[in-house]
Amino acid sequence: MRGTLWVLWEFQLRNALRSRWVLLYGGGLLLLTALLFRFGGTAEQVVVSLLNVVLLLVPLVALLYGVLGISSAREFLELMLAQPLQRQELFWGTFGGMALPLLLLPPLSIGIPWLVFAGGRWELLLTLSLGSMVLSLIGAAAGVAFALRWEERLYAIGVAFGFWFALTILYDGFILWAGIALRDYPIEHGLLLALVLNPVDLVRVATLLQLDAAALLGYTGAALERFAGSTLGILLAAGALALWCVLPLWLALRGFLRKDF
Amino acid sequence: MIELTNVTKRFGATEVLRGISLSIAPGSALAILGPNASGKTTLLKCMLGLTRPDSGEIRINGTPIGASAEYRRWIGYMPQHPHFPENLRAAEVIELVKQIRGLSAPVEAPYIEQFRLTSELHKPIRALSGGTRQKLSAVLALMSSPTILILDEPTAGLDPLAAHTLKTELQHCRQRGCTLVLTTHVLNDIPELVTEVVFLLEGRIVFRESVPQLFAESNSRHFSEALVHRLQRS
Repeated sequence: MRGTLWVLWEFQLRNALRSRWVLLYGGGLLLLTALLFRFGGTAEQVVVSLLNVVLLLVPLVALLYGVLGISSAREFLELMLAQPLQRQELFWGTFGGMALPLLLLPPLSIGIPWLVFAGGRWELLLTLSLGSMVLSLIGAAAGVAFALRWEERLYAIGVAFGFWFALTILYDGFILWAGIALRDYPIEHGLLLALVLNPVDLVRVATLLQLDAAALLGYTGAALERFAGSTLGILLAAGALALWCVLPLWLALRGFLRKDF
Repeated sequence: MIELTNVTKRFGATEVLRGISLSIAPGSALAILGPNASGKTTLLKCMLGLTRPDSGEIRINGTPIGASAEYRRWIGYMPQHPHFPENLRAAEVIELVKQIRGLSAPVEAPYIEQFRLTSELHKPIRALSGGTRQKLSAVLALMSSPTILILDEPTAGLDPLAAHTLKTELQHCRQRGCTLVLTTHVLNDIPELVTEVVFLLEGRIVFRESVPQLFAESNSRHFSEALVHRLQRS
C-alpha cells in the first residue's frame, strides 16, 4: 500500500490543480512572460522585467494561498485529524500537496516561453525559478502560520497583507530613508543586516548579482557586493534564504502541532 | 471503554470544561446534552484529540489518547459542519479516507446505497447541498465499521428520510456492540438513539441518567418534558 504522505499529497495536489485560481495564476504568468519575450527583447531585459513581477506578485499570491488554504480547510482538517494520522504526518501531507503546485507554477510558466523564445542563458532562468520557488515556499508557509495563529479569516488575510506590504513596499522606503538620512555614517553593516532580514530583497539582489546590473542593485545589493563580491555575495544571499525557508515552515508546523481544532 | 478523568479546558478567559470525569462502557449509547456553549463539542473534540485538555486524562480502550493516533482506527466521527475540498468529488473523499484507514474492499457501497448517494458520487463537492455533504459525512463515519461512533449533531441538515436512514444504521451499529456518543439539539431523536444522557452546563456535568429513568421520574411521554422535569430537580 502507498504511504499516507503520498496519499495526502496526491489528494491535495488534485484539489489544487482543479482550482481556477491556480490555473489563472499559472496562465497569467505564462502569458506575461511570452509577451515580454515577444516585445521586450533579450533574456537579460526580460529577467529584469519579470523580476519585479516575481518579487511583488509571487509572495502575495503565496501568502494568500497559504491563509485561504488553511482557513477554508479547517473543518476538513478536523475530519482528517479524526483518522488514524499523526499531526505531523497530516501537516506535511497537507502543506506539501498545497505548496507543490505553487512552487512549480512560476518556473513552468516562465520556463516554457523561455524555452521557446530565449533558448539560452539557462543560469538566469535557474536563478529566477529558484527565487520564485523560495518566495512561494516562504509565502505559503507564512500564510499557513498566520491562518493557524488567527482563526478569523479576514484578520489572518490582513496580517498577511501587512507582512507583504512591509517586505515589498515599507522596506524599500526605509532603506531609501536610511541611505539618505544616515549617509554620513558607516551604515554598510546595518544595510547588510536589513538585507538578510528581507527574503524579497535577498532574491532581488541574488538575481541582479548574476546579471552584473550594478545600477539596479540598490543600497543593500551594493553593500553586499562591496562586502563579499559577486560570487560570495550570491552564496551568502542563498544561505540567508535557506534560513528564511526554514523559519516560517517551523512556525507553521509548531502552530499546527499545538492547534486546538 | 472511554474514560475521562478530571478533564479541564480553557480558551482564553473562558473555562469550557471544568473537571469532567466520565466513564462510557463498551456498547453503551450516550447523548451529551446542554445549552449552546456548554462544552459539548469541545468534550467530543477532546475525545478525538482534536483539542488538547489543559489537565486530566482521556483513555480509549485503556490507551491514553496523546500517545498515538492509532486509537482513532476504532472511531468513526461525524463533525457538526462537514466540509470537504470543493474541487474534489465525493468518491475521491471516500477513497482518501479508505486509503488512510487501509480499507480496500468496497465497504462504502451499502451505505452509499442506503443514503442514495450513487448519483452524487462523481459531482464536485461544491455542487453538493449541505444535506448531501452530511450524508457523505455519515458514510465516512460508518464505512470502517468502527467500534466507537462520535457524532456531533448527526441529524442536523438531513431530510427526514436520510435522518431515518441514519438512525436505522446507528441502531444496527449498536446491535453489533458499537459504543455511541453523540450531541444533539433534536430531543425527539434521543429515546430512539441512546439509553443514557449526560447534561452539561458551563463545562460541568449537571447529571447523568438513563433515558427510561428520566421518563419514569417525570411521568411524561415526551423526552423534552422529562428533561425539563429533571433539570428543575437539579
